[in-house]
Amino acid sequence: MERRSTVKSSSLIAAVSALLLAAWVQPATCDEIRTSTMGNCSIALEDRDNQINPYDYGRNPAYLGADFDRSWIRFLFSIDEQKGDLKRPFDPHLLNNTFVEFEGRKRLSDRQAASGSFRYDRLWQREQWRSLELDQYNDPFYLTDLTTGDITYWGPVMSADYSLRLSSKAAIGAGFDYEISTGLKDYYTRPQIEHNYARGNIGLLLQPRSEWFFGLLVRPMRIQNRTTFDGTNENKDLTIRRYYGEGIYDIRSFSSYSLTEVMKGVEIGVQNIVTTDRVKVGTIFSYGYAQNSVQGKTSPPEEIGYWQDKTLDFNFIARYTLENTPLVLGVSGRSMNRDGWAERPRYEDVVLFDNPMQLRSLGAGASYTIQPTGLTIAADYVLNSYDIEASDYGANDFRAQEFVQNVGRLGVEYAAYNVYSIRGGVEVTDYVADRWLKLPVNTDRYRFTAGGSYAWGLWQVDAQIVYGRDTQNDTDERRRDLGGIVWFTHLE
Amino acid sequence: MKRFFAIVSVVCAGALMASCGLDKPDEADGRSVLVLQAVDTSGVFSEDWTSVANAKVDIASATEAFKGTFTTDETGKIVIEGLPMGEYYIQASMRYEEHDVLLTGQAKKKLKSEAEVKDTLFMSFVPVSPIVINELYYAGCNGSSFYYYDQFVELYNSTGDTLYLDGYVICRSQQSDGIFDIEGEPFALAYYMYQFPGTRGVTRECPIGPHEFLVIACDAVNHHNYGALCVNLLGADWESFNPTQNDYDNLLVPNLLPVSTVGKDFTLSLGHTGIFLATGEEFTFAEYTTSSGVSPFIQVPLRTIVDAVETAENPSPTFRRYLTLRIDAGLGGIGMTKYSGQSIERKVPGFDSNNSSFDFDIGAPTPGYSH
Repeated sequence: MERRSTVKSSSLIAAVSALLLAAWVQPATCDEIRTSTMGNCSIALEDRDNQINPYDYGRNPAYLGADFDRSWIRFLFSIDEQKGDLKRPFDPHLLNNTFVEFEGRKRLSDRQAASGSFRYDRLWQREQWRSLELDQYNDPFYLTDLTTGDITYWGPVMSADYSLRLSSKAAIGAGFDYEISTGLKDYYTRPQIEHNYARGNIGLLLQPRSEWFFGLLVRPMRIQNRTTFDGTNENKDLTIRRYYGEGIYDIRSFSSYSLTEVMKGVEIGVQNIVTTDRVKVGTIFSYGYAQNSVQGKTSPPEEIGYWQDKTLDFNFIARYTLENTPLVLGVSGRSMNRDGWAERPRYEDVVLFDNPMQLRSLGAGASYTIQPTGLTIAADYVLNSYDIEASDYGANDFRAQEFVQNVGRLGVEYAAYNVYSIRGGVEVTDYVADRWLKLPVNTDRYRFTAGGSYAWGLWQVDAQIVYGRDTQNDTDERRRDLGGIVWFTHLE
Repeated sequence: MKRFFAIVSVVCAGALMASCGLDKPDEADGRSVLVLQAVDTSGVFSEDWTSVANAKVDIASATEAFKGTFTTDETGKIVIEGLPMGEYYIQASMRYEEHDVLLTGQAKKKLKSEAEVKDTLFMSFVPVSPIVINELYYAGCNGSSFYYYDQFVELYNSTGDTLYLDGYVICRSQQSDGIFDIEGEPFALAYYMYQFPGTRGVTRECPIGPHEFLVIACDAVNHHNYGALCVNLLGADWESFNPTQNDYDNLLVPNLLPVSTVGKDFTLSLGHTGIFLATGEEFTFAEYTTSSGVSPFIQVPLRTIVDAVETAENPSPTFRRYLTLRIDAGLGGIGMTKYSGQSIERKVPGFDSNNSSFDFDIGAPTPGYSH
């Protein structure tokens, strides 16, 4: 792991402060909140958690032990709220996400390291129109009623990684992500929506040469979403609509009912990381497969939907650090092909929904640190070319978009004496992409961030405020995003 | 080398896992084509069968919420394209105003794998019943949970004469495991049977005037007192009353008495029910097995049945009919919710094409009158 000092200052106030604290202050740690606050600049802006190594670039748990500076524990609190009508039809008008989290990283021995996090999350979907799922857009099958209500989800989110170095040239690692939440709609039809997500993360890492890492990743995954109706206070029967794409739906009326989606899948990835003093190159090639079976609770269970998704994804990133100049140049690229399709198992000879998607991406970035003022400036430009089709054969609705997305990022940081830093950034996305092509075309997104950090003793506090705004030229509808996050990190 | 093989093995194992899944079908949904030819077999206008131009063709999915109306061309043909796979009820109708003739024809088609399905709709007279079940209210209301005592059946006399219902029976059907194929039987099964007083063709105690409605209440009570959506049935013409049970009796309203020996009153199932009106001239008691054991049923010959309606809230693909297609080709009330305070009523009083999928609309109950 390579650390970049972010604490440079010549200002008097900062100097005085630093002198007072220098005797016992520890170097600041920033992690990904730094890049996030600096406009999400990530191509050339190197960070504690944004390096080109097998853990930061691909989360290979086998490299966790090598990606280790010191143990720490962190408490963080986040609140974020999105609001507005520039959205897809089944997105909530207002989305409020609040969570508290503990996380930490610890070296267990000179060969072992572990990290973990525990979060308790509240997701509040307000003025949710008809939708009865946590994510209505995860496949073409969905449930609705005819009401608008609020759905509140509560639940924990956990993750852990563990690495074991087998030899100087090999390491293995394992980890998992797990989340479970229960959502309740406060209005007729009052469903209970249980979400359960589990993903394993198994990694193997070889280091054939000192500058070359070869990683292998296997990630099995399972998601289960169950919507249960147990009756209401309104003395009404439960009337829901089950959609198979947008054109075919049936109306079901029950006193109680449940519908379960089970998505199973696996992702296999291969990493190659080459690092020298000046040049660092990382590539990941991955293959992902997932299938989703939607079952209604009848006797025998009735399979009413099937969705399958395959993804071939190739990513690369490279950074070059100029000699004697604090300038880092970077390039990135991505080529992704996804092929999703759906059928009604009752009519398995025909495709109901076809959703191929291609992404070709090229990006370039630069990061420059002005010495000795401690001013860091970073900028990225990414050009994404999308080709998306959403063919709903059941509805005779064929949507297709081929467009270029421009993403520009700019981040600035002023850091002083390893004590405090002030950061700001902006990210502009010209044409937000939506796989289902339900978002109004040519929606632009502006994201402004500001924040800073302060360190004393073994403690550091980081904070970030985000203001985002989605706009579209042909409509007055807007959507804004306002959020904040505070981290308290204690180094050990 | 060992390590290399280990890596290759892991990759192969992963690839094997990833290769699971289904092959994507080559054909697309929503491309089915239904070709229909409407043919007049009535012999009214020609001794030969002739094509029916400009006939209205209604098509409704048997399981999904899809309905469409189309018109045949000059040759009596219609090509309906872009249909999703599924099962469909089809009805062709043609009204000749100048002759006051209504021809109808019906079919049920399953579109599964063939790209194009062809069929002929044989159109003829509807053997119009002089009396029809015009409105059926069985959903219950919001008086309380399980409050459905305000159910009623409304009959309509579509003739210009006063008719008499003496001896007629109104019946509720039920699933029986003893009958494998209801389409092969010459009778319908009644589980509940209530009878008008008198003797058919002899007495004249139960009149229904020309183009008038007649309401048979489960309990002739002002149920509106118990819930905003509940129906006031104090004005009912008749009331089903079971004297062997603890059934409410409004002494001001004459009674239909039970012939069947089960049940406490003439109540209808809220989810799936079949009801028919018969002349009562002939029926036979029989026992059949149901899910709850052996139960007494009554076989009613189809030729004595005046009108029949079958309703279902949620017909599934494995749905089993109570009534034969010969007396009701479709299902009414699909999607109507329990305790919603809604009824099904014929689109026009007396309109009866023998297919409840097309004959009825869902709406607020109107006992004794129409919308």
